[in-house]
Amino acid sequence: MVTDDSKVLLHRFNWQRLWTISPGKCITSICWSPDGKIVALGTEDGFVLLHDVENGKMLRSIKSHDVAIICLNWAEDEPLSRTDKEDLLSYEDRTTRFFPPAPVMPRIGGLNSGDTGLADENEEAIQAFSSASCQRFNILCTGDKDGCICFSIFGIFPIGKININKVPIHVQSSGKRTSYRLQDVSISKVSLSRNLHQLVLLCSGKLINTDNLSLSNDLSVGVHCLHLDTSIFSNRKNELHQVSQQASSIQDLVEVVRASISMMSKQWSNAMNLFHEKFSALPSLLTAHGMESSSEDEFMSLLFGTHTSPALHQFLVSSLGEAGLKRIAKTIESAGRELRIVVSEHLQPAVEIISFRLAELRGLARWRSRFQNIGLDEKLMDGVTERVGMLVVQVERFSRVAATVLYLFQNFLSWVLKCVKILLSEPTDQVPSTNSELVVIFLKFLLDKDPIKQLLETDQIFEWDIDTAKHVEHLVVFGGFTDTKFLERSLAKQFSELEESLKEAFLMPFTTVSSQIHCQGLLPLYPVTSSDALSSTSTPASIAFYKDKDSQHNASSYSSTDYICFKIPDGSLNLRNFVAVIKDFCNSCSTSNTPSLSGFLLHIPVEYECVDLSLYKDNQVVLLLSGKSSSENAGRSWMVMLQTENLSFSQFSRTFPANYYNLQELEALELQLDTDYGKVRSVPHPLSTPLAVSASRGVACIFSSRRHALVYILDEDEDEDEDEGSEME
Amino acid sequence: MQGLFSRSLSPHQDNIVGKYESALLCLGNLHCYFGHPKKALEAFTEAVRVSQMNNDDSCLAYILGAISNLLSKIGISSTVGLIGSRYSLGNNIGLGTPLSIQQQLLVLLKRSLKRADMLKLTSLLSFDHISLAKFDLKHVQRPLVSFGPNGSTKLRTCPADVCKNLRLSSHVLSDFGTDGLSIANDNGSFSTSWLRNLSDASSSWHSSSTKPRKLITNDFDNFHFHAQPSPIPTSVLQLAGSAYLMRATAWEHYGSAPMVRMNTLVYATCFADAASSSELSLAYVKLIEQLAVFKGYSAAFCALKLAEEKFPSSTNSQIHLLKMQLLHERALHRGHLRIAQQICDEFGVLSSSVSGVDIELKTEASLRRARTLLAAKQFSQAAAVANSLFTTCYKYNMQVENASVLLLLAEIHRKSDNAVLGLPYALASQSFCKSFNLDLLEASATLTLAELWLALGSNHAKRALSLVYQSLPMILGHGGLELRARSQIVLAKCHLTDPEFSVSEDPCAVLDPLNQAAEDLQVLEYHEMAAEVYYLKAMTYNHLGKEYEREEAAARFKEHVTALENPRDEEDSLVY
Repeated sequence: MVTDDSKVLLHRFNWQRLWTISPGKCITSICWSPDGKIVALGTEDGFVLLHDVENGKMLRSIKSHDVAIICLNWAEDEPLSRTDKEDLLSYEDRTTRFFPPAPVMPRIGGLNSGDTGLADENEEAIQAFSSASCQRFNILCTGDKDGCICFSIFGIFPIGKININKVPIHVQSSGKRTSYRLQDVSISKVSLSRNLHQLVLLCSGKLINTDNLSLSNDLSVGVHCLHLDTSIFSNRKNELHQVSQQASSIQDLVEVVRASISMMSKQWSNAMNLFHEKFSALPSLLTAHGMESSSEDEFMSLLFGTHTSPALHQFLVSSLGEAGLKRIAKTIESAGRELRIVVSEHLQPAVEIISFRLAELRGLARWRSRFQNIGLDEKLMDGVTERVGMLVVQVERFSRVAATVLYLFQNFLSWVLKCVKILLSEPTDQVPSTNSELVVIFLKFLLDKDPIKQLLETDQIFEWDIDTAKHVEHLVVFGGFTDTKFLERSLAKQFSELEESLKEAFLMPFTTVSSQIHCQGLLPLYPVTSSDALSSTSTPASIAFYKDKDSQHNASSYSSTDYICFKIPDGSLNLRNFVAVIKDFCNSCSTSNTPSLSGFLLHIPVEYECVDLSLYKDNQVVLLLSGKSSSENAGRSWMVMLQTENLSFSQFSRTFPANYYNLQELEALELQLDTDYGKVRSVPHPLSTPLAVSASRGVACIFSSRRHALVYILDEDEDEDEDEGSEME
Repeated sequence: MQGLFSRSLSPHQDNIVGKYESALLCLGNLHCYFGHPKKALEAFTEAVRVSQMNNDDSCLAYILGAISNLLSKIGISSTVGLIGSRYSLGNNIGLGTPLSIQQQLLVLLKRSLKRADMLKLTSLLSFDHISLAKFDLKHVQRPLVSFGPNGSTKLRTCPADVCKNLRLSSHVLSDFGTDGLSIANDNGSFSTSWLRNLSDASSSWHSSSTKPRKLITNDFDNFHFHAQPSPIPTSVLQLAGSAYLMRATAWEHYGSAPMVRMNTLVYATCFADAASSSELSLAYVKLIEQLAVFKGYSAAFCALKLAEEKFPSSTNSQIHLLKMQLLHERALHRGHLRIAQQICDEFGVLSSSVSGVDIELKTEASLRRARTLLAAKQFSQAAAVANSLFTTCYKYNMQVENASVLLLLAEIHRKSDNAVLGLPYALASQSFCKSFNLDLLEASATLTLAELWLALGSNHAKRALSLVYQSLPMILGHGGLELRARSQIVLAKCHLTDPEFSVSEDPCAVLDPLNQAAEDLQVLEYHEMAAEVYYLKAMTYNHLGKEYEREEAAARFKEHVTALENPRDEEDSLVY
């Protein structure tokens, strides 16, 4: 459970190292999936990597941002929040009932059996991932340095993206509406509430008044707290779940199809290269013998028994030879077998399941009253369904052409083998009988053409005759594909068109959902002077949602209280060594009757310095303090757990914009280490920043400056530490 | 006939022996085709005996396939005395109890499959896979021997197996070279077809060279006119194609309209050149059926005309049947009951009189008769027909048909205001559908169930509403116009009867579904239901106090009711 720079190490509690990976990129953030089976890593260049906890295998890598991802938050829907309405809308994914398990990516060199054990494991992991992740609805939010927040369902299906820089913030103050906008935003923390209703984020940036630009001043640069209304996620939970479940597996299968096509074209071009390499010797031999004829003519005359030219004789007997011929035959045969396997085990099933899932999605899109407002568009889905139907036709055509061509190759090569044997006057009874007509067809149409390759390339346009055109147009009356030109395209071209329309169709929900995420409130926390603006992202802060105690009995409409806890950097607001805790920010934004915004400031004794802080279950705050080097406590640290309920929250107003930073109004409490606000533990090492607290396991992990990791059990009363950390390199 | 089976013909040379069995096999198949199951079985039994005597394994495999085909086609209630004692299947398994006909069929299919696999008869292999898929589609595969608590008691069909079998059967296309029996021989057929195309090829080459675009010709593309004759035998192509047709049929059962359409289209596009006319017409029939269900009758009849031109009709052909089906449906919707009755009688005449033959046609005929009677409000007679149909289906083990018969019975009881009696039928139909994975039928059974609850009183409105919601994704996604309209009506009715729901608060919840239903029914020309829709609409507008809209809806209601009660243009019901 430890991360190092550009290297991820995973340990069990007993310090048994599970795995180590080095993605080769700088990792900027990390978080667990709600079920604890996946670790999500955010990288410097905007990738989200999902790793399996069990074996460290990378399951997915998604590029959703352009810049470094600062924070990740993976929130799962509360199982308690199920209402009877949800049961009634239960929806079954029929795919598993009607189809055998979905095909996986074809592997290159699938024939070497030594490797299969490991690869199979990997496949199973991916399978398990895609099935397990669909159990309960969850959303991964990622925030980046440029103020973009992305949402993806199950961590794999992108459902929304908003740019804080562009979100207008409307603030109601004394009856008058003012809009603000944040500039140069860099997000430092996001947190989605457990009921997926609200999102609270901390970001630094410049607040400007869009109505009156002159009002902005120096103070407006600072860290702000924003509340976004993400109720679309909770209100349309079932619909989003269904759509994303279908759509994400469609995307998986599209990848399978892509891999299949590229692998087939690679395999086939390898085989063809060998074939052409060997047979290209013939024309040059012919010119060397001073003959005008082409190789096709020569083979023809050999077939019809007129004569064997010396050039052909030389080519067949010496330059090609029996062994070379057999090698070609073997290569082409194995390539053909690969092709066949890929088509029948990967391509066809994948396309079939894609079409089924699309049909299901189209069915959902028909339920306009429910699915239109998450942007599932019926027309677009219809278009995609048409495209996938054409793709099936193309696959069928490809498999037919491939079967024919392979058969012809086989026929031709065994004929040539027979000829070589005759020329060498060897017995020919081992060679299978051949069809001479098919040899003619081969010579005429295959010796220098490659119909398989044509179908696998995107830029080919096929000619087709009037009869077929008539047939296809005729079918339109019967409800056939309205795009009658589809036979002109190659398989690969058709596939890329399908991809395009899929992208278009899935972009609809993406944009629709994104447009329905609004900003609900803003609370400037503290100003930052421009000099330390860069470091502001690293100031410790924590956001958490706790369920209201009093609303627990009322499970259908429970609300949650948000707690925001952060350290005010020294110098800002003329405060030193203060930690602020604020609660009920969300509720104060949305409604007026609920408890309004309140909070307190905590003054940490001068001889200590707050290193990191975190919110912990049951409204507790864990502070990590270290002694300042000047004091006698240098080199020692304390971990303090405070029960926030014991501290008095004082309300403060949200008058705006009269006073940007109202935090000063808050009561400042002196933190005494020996008071019974909470538990205090002393750590005999100087500590460094990351403090990881796990509410479910009740442990905290801290890192000392001496590269030790220590795990504490927070709930135990004894002061002793549980596990003395293992040495990290 | 007797002479054929007498031993006197028993020859001594091997090659003649092979021909004798093959002849018997063909004879059996012909008998089967013309509807003489007993004669066919006799021939097959003899063929089995001879090929066993001569160790002709491949022929035996083919015969097993043929017998299973016969068993699946012909409704046989019991095998006693049919399959000769010399080749009793029950004995081979070593169980005292005789097996049911379905289990015998399964055993035969599996055995044929094994042999075909061993002997590398790829065509037969593919055929057997398709037959197995057909079997899996309609029957629960029960283990032959199941003892103890661990004996699997899965009483559902397994659609994944159908899919697997169909995929395996498609392999025939790529493996055709390895089939031991269908080696292409040097008989000059390719050159003949090539020569025939030569003149066309050269002429069209000229025309294509003048086109501005640079086109690439793919010589082996079957869509290309001067493509080269393919070495793939037609029989192989037919087999590969019928896998797609089978898929379409499977999806008809499982309920996925786009998949039906897509698979049929793939068949019609890719395999039209090699398909036999009966299979191709089947594909067109499926397409037209889809049109009728989703686009209404005018589009369907338009396509039907084209199809009739393409396939000059004979009386028993698929197209003719389809025409009668469509006419019957339309007559029922328009309220032309006399015409509907007439078509029903025609249906009854079509099927063969031999018991067990044309069983599907017979089932359909009596199903339609019951529906006509229902439309004529002769409930007891309709129920009697449906009941007798149920016993027939039960006798021949046609469980899938049973589900729809039960649903019809529930419907009859609902229309005759006996909702309580209808409930058990609807529930039974629902559970049948569940175990056979008939999702669309299940959704409509759920809908009927909701209607029945609704008929029991307004305090069941909540339950009915939840049932409607359950069935809606399926119905809206894959159901036809009629089913969709029905579900919308029921949805609106649920809201209207719910005492807690007030129209003035949320008029859209009622009016939206009603408007959509009205739209769909307009296309379908379904007077009875359209009248219901406009009645409900008028009521809603009355609640809302919108008088103009109310009057308008009421006028439309009157229009439809008069059209239903006084069928003016009954004559043109047979014209399309």
